[in-house]
Amino acid sequence: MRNEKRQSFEAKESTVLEALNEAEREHWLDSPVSDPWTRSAAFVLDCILVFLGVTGISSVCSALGLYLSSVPLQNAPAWSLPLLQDPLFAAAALAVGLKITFVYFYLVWSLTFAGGTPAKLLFGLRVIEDHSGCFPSLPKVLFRLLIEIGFFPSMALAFFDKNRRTLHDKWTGTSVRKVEEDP
Amino acid sequence: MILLVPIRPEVPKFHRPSWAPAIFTLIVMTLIFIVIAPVLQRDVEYIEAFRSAQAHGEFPTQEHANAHLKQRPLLKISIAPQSWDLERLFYSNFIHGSFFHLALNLIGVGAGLRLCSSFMPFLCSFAIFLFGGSLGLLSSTLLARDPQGAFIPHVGASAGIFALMGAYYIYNFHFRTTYFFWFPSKRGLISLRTNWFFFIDVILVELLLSAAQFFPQRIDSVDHVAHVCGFVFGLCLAIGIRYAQGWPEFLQSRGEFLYWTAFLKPSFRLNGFDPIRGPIATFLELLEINSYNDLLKLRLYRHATKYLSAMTEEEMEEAFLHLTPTFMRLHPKAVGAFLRQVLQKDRALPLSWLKRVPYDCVILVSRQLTSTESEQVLLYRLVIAYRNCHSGKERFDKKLSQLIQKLETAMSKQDSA
Repeated sequence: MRNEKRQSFEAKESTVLEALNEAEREHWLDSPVSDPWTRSAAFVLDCILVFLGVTGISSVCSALGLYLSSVPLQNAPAWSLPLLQDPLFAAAALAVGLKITFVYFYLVWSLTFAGGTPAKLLFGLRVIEDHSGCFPSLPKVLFRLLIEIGFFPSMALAFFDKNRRTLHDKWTGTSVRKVEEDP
Repeated sequence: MILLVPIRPEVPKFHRPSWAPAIFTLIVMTLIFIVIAPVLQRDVEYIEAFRSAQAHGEFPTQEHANAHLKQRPLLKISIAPQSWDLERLFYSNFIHGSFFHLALNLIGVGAGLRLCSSFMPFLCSFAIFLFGGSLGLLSSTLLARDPQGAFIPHVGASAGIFALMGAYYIYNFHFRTTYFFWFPSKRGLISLRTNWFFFIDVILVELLLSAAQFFPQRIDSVDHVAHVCGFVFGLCLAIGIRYAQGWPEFLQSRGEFLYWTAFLKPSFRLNGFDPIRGPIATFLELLEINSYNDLLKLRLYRHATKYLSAMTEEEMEEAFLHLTPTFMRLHPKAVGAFLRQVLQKDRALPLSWLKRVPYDCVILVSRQLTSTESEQVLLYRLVIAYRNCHSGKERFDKKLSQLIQKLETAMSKQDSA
């Protein structure tokens, strides 16, 4: 009996939560498209944060490479010998892997999980699909990123388009909305 | 730190740090640079002559070379690992090797002194800069292991800058810092949490690079050890000063601290302190001075959640005044718990608050009121009250009516099941 009651509460909670989530998506669809200046500011901040992250990873791996270079081979455990034979290459490879992972999480995963990169979230912006109000799917985000990189100057379209949308917004059916009203 | 320049703690306008101490110090440092420019020039010429002589094999051993390097002009006013004293240690904080070195450090000194002026008088900040910086430089010289660097001068204000950053980190640890990121509009400012972002931006990379500095192949010629040690000494000095001042952790700005020390603490001693009503009145008074202080708000709402019946209507009204959209977005759980209590005790939600709270904040807080059936009833009441406040606005009416309908459907779905 107690379990049934708990299950009923959990089920009700999930439907109430679903109702709230649906209301939130409708609110996002109703929110105005972000002005190009706020988008540009978010873009600049994203560039800075990505640069800091990538530079930090480079510094970590350079320091690690230097450390590995100073470890005498005779004292090293057997499993580390392949690394120590060319420590700088190992450190460089690690740097590349970490940078790719960082950039993936920063630019791709954040859009599918939270609807925006950290800078966009800080400015109260969300990237949503125009037909559903949901966060874009992974293929859509990747396609969006490819268009952004391939047709980089088209980002200026947001200043001239009457709907303030860029090429990568139009081609993926997404838009950047200002969902948090400024106090 | 150059791309994202910390310019002030996030405080109300009248608490914003002053530029005057920073400008004064920048002028002094620039004048010092101009005055010692001839010494720098002589040093450059001396080193060029030394390199030329070394290329001709005039210094067969490192000892011979060091004996010659010991006489370089810059070492008369600065320190090196094997040539230092207290007087030159202090001077080294104000010496820079080039105009570029000076320019970068001027930005850092300006930012650091300005940041710290929110919490302490100029002489205190300057003392942290001087002592923290000197200790940082000294640590770097004592820890230097490269025999070829025995007489390379360690100069620059950067250890002092990091000492100021360390002091700022302690004083503003629980609060936010406003950064400038070179964007040409008012959007070029952003506020980020000091405790994690400031640490990453200012010191994390320096920690790693300072470790790398101990290896024979250096990554660069920047003295990262001095930066890290300066930061640590700045932290320690600030901890000591705060302890001596008796600065409570929930106070952010100097204005709050002075009010606390001059008015509140004496009145507690004189009139006693009611543990239930006392915090409510105290936190509300302090929030009048700094309404950006989220730590105060958290304490207020947590206390009010426990002792809501002790709050008068005027205090409720004032407490809701400080329930801003930014605070609600950052702390939805605490706000949800407070609102749950308010609704449970049938206390009225102020109309002025309902009118100004944005819709996305209502959704955020509503998610905290879904755990039990009784909470969902409270949630329903909250949304109804919000809708009644915004009736007449067509866009809002439609959105809220739809939300209410969805909630009614969701709540009755399981009942019918």
